[in-house]
Amino acid sequence: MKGLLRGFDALVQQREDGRVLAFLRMSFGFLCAWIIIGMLVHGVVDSVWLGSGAGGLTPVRRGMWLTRELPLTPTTVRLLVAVCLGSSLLFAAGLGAWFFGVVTAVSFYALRSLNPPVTGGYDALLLNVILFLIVSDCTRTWSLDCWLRKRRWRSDELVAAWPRHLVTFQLVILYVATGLKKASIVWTPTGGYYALFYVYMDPTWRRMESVDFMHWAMPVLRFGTALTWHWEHFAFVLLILGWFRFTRERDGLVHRLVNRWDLRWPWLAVGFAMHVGVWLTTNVGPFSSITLAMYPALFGPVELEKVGVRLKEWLRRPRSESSDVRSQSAAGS
Amino acid sequence: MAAGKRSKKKPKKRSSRAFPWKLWSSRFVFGYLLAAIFVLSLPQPHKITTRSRWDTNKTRREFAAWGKSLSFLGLEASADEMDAFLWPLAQGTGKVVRILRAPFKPFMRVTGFFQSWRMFSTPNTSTVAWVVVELDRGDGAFEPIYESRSSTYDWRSFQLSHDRMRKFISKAVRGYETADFVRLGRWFAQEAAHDFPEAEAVRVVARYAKLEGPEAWMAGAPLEVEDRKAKVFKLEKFRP
Repeated sequence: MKGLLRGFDALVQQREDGRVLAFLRMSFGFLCAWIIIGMLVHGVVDSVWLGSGAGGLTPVRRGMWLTRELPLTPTTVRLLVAVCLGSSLLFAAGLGAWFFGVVTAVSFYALRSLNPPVTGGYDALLLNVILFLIVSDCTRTWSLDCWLRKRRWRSDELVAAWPRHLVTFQLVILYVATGLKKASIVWTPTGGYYALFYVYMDPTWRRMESVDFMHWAMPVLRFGTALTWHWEHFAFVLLILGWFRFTRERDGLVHRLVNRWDLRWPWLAVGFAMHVGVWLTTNVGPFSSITLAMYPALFGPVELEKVGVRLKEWLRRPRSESSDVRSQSAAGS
Repeated sequence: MAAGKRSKKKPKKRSSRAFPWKLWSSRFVFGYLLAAIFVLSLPQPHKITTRSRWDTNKTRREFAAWGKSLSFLGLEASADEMDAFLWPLAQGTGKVVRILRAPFKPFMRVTGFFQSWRMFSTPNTSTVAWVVVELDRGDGAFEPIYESRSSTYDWRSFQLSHDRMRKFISKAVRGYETADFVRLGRWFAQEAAHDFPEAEAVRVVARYAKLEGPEAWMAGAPLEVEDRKAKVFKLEKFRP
């Protein structure tokens, strides 16, 4: 128990530069704006959020403290949409510390509560992460706040890392809970791993008109079902791996192994491939984008910087080699 | 005199003795939110302890399939036996989860914080359903103008392909209550009255196809299609 409390305290007191939190702030601000813009472009704002008396699909509900007080006329609902869009962009830009985060969260929550039957899991996920960012110092760097304070975009000031760990925990719980709730027999080996067959048979979510592709793709679908189910159940391993990376100075066989191979990367590669697959073949809203935007929270800014440096080196290498070849051939001629 | 006494006092070492509010508030917020994420992701009590949710055909089919799958352990059970075993467990779990959720309810109500992750948890394995919209242009015959995922009947398909519209359509065509189906029909009629000024009526149909399982489908068995709900809406009511 003492060890657990010490670990908890170490996470609370951990400080790092604010680039990962700033990246999350920008991503989630833009994703919130993207949801609203997507609805405006598809022309569904009025249908979904105006009451049936004003041309909408269903009577609006007054389930939230703000919507109970507001007169829910088409004008106020559209104003709420405009406030949510504007504040989410300002939150992404990093203005006003937590203020525009709160405005975004409240207005988005109000809109979401107008018609609960058409909300998706991604609405809740987006709102949860914005709430974590509100209690963080996410505007310390790469923000308008930073520019106004220091006349430069980048600041090396340290911020608390625990809001980033909250995002990580949220991601892991999302996957594990989703996996455990996939209780239908068709997700399991005894059900033949046929869940994706049934998902694509239903025209509600699939993108394509015909399902003839399943004749040749059935083994892929069964493999995809098995991979999804087991991969989600084992998502808790990410927390263990993250903890071993956090305490990497400690000695021991497991620490040495985990320090040698960072197994978070292959795990995330599988997740990335699955989300791209979901995005290409089904329309479940921006669920995949929101989940993928949480992935950087698994790494500290220094770890991500190292990856960036390696990536840059890898990208430069072929160019420099080819330019060397070109210069040699030019000298030869 | 008083001023002299005050000047002799040593200045307080505020930094070393002050209560570390910032640290303790961070500990509290971090701990509370970690607990909220975990506890609220547990199955929602009203969903696992409501009898009507257990008595659906879908749940009974799942129980039967799970009961059958236990045969490899020599424990084959019928849907009723599975129900009798799981129902008290669900009641107990529901009670515990209800107590655990209590400290987080005010936070949920104020902020909208929510955890309910069920991506395709129980796909429909017996039937699939979709919507068809047909238009009467004034000659008394209905012709299709929209069908879910169809590239031929694609009236307003860009709008209707948005995930929130898909969700509502699915709920309306599959729902046990007809209220949502009527609301959907009214919405189609309202939009059709605007887009087709000469048309007389629209008919909205909930079309179902029976699934026989992947093996039968792979073998080329045709899908049995049936219209379960259909409602006609006169468009004159929806014109100004």
